[in-house]
Amino acid sequence: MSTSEEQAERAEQDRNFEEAFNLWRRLALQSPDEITFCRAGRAAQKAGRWMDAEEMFEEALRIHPMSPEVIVCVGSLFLNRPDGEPAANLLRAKQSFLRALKLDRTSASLILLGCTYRELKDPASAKEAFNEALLLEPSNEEAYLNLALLSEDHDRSEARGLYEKAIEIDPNYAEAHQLMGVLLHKEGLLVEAEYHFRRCLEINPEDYMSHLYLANTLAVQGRFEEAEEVYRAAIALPQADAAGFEFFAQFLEDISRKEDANKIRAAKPTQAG
Amino acid sequence: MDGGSTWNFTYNALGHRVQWAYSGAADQHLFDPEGTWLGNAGSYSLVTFGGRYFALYLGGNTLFNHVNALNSASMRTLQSGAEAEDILFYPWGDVWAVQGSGGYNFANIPYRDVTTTTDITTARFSSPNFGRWFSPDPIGKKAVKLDDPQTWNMYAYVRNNPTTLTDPTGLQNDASPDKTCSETDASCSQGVVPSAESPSKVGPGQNLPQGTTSNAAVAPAAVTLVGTVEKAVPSILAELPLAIAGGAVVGAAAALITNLTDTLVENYEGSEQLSAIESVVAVENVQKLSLAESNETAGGGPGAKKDNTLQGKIDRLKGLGDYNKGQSKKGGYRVGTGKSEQAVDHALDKIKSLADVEKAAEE
Repeated sequence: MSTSEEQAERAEQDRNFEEAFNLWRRLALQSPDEITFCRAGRAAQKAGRWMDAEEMFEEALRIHPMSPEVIVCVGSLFLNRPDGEPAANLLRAKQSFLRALKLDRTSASLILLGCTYRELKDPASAKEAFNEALLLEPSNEEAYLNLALLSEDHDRSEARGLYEKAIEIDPNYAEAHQLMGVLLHKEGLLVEAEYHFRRCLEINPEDYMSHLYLANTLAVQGRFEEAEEVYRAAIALPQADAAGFEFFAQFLEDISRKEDANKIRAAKPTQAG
Repeated sequence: MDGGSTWNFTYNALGHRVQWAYSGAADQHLFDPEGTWLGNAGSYSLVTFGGRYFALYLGGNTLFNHVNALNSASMRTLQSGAEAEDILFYPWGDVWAVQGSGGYNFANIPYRDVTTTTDITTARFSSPNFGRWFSPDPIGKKAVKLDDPQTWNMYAYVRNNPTTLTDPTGLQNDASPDKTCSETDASCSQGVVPSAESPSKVGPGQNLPQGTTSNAAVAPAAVTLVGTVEKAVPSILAELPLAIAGGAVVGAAAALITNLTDTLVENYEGSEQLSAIESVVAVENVQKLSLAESNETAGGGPGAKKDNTLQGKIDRLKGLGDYNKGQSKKGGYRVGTGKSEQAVDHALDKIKSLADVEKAAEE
């Protein structure tokens, strides 16, 4: 591995995606191959530079149009990008994943396809994709999590079982704990919800959303001092944004602490997110 | 005590029992600055490993601790492997049978004073005979949750579930989001710790001295018992109107008070032991919820769910969900795709590495 590649890798590890993108792009232009263009595209995607990402993936496809990895990258870009027409993006993502699956059936591609179907409001096809992912890889916790998400609307107890299965496979699966916590909170099982949010925070102590969910659960239980403490921890995180401050201020208002709420609002960061 | 002899105990500033004096003799016990019990000066010392007491040096021997699922020392063995002690406990910690001699260490509690049959933690003492603590939870009224009757009795040991849960520190929930509680099950919100999970510094029984808790600076319990339910319940009703904005008890708050009063009377009728703190907590919680309700009636906080339950007044789950969804779109990935997206990155890495190897081979 060259020094430039190492630098690019390091930048990605440090979550400095802008720099990683520039380094990967330079490398790809110096010695073009589809994977380096893909790496550049993925870094651009993570940096939120959607057009650059698309350009990099197009270059990669030009070099190797039948590479399933490149095609999956294109699908992922269109599944996640917020710019443009959402329905058109999702259809493009679906086409890409279906094409990639013709070349190579992997559980990751099936899950991404399933999520695309879910976003396209086609739960039956989504379920089929997740079930096929489980056939390929019976202990794929993400497939269970996605099946749980599909079940949440019509059968919460089934959803709960599926989340439990995902957590059983990977006890440190933070996303499953968080979604399980939200489900339990909806069902009024606040102590159980609290447990899952706390597990999220054990796994990732800097998880902003888990802080907010936990604080909310504590507030609903009437444990206002604890809720306040968690809200304060949340807004002290580097990723804290105006919305988090507003949630905290609303909580303070609801417990008749208008002055404190105003102070929190005054301290809001000027740019959200 | 103990057949007529008198023992004098001396405590240090952190509440550790550092001297046990009796009949002209005295044992001195040592603690490190964090409060970990180190042993008896000139008699034995303890080996800690992984936050637990692992072994004991005594009279040229090393005794190894073997614990059961509750972290009670059920056996001790010598360095030779020979059994030195074998103990069976009743559910609440009383000793059923014992072979050998040494001491009793029940459910991760640092040590037992067999002189007074008391399990001792820095925060408070418990009685295996009575199956309860001698004093209420030191955290005070915070330990009581209105919607969980098991928390109303602050003398109860591990929610009266001693075959599953342990409480080696004697502390209940200290409200910190990152405490051991979070590793446990639902009962943890009341601060008790399911067996074999507690990382607290705890020790082998030894009839002897003090171990430590994870929070040595806890103040001693300061609860005054006053009166009976018959006195406490009217006090709730008397205080409420003063606390609620506008002087009115509204909607669900009033219903809550009625329910609470009924429950207290039903469960504690005739008891002289209901502590005033339970009543105070009840009043305070009702005050807070009622204030929230009054506030909501007057316009409420933005984004608050507009339902009529007390919980609903401050619940922002939906708002948080919508916000979370927006966050996923802004950066990162869709919900439920994180691991698959990682797999895509790993696949690219793998291909790149293989290409590098091939290139190197060609060169």
